[in-house]
Amino acid sequence: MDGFADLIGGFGAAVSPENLLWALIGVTLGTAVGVLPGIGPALTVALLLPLTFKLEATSSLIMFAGIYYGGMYGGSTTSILLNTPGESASIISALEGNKMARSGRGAAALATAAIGSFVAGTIATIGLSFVAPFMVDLALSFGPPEYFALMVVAFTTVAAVLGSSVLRGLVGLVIGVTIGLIGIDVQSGQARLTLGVPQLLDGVDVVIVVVGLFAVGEAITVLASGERRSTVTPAAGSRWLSRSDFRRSWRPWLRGTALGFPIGALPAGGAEIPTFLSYSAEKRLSKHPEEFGHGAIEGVAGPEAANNAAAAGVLVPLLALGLPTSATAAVILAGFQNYGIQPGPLLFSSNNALVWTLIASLYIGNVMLLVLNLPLVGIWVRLLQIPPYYLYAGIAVFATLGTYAIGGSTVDLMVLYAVGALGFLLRAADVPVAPAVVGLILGPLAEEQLRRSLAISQGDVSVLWSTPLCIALLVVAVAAIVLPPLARIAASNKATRSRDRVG
Amino acid sequence: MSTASGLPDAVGSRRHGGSRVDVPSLALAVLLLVMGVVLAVDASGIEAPRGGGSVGPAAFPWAVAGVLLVLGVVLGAVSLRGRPDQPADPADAGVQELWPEAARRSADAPDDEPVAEPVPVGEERPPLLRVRPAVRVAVFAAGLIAHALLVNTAGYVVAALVLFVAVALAFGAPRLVRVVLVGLVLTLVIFYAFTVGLGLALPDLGGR
Repeated sequence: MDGFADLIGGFGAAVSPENLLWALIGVTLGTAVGVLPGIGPALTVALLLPLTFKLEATSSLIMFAGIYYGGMYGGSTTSILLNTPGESASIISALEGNKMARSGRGAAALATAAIGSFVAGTIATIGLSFVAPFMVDLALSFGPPEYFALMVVAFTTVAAVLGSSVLRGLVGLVIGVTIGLIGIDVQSGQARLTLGVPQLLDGVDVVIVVVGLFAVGEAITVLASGERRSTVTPAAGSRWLSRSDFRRSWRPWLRGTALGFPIGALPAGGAEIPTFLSYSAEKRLSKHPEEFGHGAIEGVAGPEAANNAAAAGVLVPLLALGLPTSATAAVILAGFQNYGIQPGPLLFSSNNALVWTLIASLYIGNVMLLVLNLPLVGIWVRLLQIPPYYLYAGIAVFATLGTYAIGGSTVDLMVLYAVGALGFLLRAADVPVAPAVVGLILGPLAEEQLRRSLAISQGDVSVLWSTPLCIALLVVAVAAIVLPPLARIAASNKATRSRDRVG
Repeated sequence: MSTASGLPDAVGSRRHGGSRVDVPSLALAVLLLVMGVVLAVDASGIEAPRGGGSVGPAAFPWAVAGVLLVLGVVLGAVSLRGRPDQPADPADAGVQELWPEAARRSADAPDDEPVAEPVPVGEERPPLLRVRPAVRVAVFAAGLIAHALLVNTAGYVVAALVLFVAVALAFGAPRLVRVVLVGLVLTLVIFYAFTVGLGLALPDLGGR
């Protein structure tokens, strides 16, 4: 088994003191930003992207992946103890978790979240180790038309999955794609959409877009929405799971993993959907359905496992196909690009050692995260006590610093503010910003594949649906856009009918 | 869960509920149309490379411009029709859509006897700035603009400190002196970490 030997080799490299240190920095930072409301892993990785010019590729990618995993762990702490949910993938855990905390079972909720995240993260990382090489083998036979179709699938599913409606998801996506067009076209040397501003010739840096949308836009949204008094519930109770809590948790962990990993690994992505599915599955299967809504531990264990498994799953299309399906994955892809590395099937042959060191470090990072989030959870709880005004003042300082550090010009700052205002408008219009980041990164790649396809066919557009696989993928892409609205209409009809029956 | 915890409504028209014109979405629709037109004008000005195939640098922008215009029209139509009552928190939107029962239950169910009493984050003291949200946004924006104007003239530490204090005030900081001190420590640490630690130049006191 070739992959297994590669993985062992990866572990050999990952346990070097230097790589262990970067993994530790990554998971610690990731947990911190996961805990702090207002900052997420996508923003953090974006702010640290300039480090790619100083650090070796393996080191910084290990750190970025650690931040990604850590954010998933940290988010649950916030959901459980704070009355405002942290990361979007942790919203469901807040339903039961916050209720548990208020009834004095906060520690048990934190413990089942941390252990569940560890179990799911580890199983899903094993899944990643085995599924990714398989997907690589599959992808090696893909030509540009297949890739283009795959990217269209990613576009539409991301738009459908990451927003409140397909229309708004698409709007976010296309805005990102448009921003991605700005600058010089690499293939022809033509300037596009620069509006005569010379500083825009290099395009708008990913850092500026992500920081603008996530930091500045978010801050304005919070300000404009008025006073928001957050409360923290102290984590009462024993720090470890009681025997009965454990008995009620382990099945949800495994079921959550089983839901999360495949859904994350599909080029549809998103860690949110599996948490919804896991929650409703646990509620249906529970022996104590009456506890749901009042602090049922299964409602924390399942979704928390699901979001971590999905996070690992998202790395499968990212590494094997070069397809980012979440905002953080898109920013990590930008990190790869800074090193001139393009994730995709060739990554596993051209940068074999790097990939397997990265994957091995994910196993190690999971163990570190278990320690950080189980015995040391008290530190993170204290982080929640930071008043929001210090938090946002700090975010503003780092956001502008990260932007200014790119080019040292105030034009970049102005672009940042403009993107921030755009981010505010998007949020006000209920348009998700994550698809915009995916569109920004994936747009140029899709264009490249499109032009390559058409160059091969000498301009014949039918090359795009020339193989059964292309057709199948495009059908999936269309279905992702068409089905959710239809399903909603069907559901609302059903709801109206049942209400009529009651009334 | 936001309703249960008493969070204020989110921005814009959602506050009004019912089916009035959805102003933010309408504004965004207009922006999409403008972007579409600008992109189309720009694409029409791109010269195709000589002797190239039929797919030059303008093809993809044309397609994106088309999508922008279509989405702008659709979003505009949807926003004029108005939206039914939306959940106040976009986070809840997903919950309601995918699992309406969960959202309803958590919103309706009265809190169980709280054993562990939630404690407010931060201090109980009233904020220094007691103004409307719009003014807070203005203070925040002023801090950002001031930062951009000052960074190359007054130096990084001054510019960042001004930003820090402005944002903290906008977010309801209760004590000015403490905020200034915390901000000064933070910006000095950043300045020396960058210039000495990483060897990256940040504008000195008095600009470059």
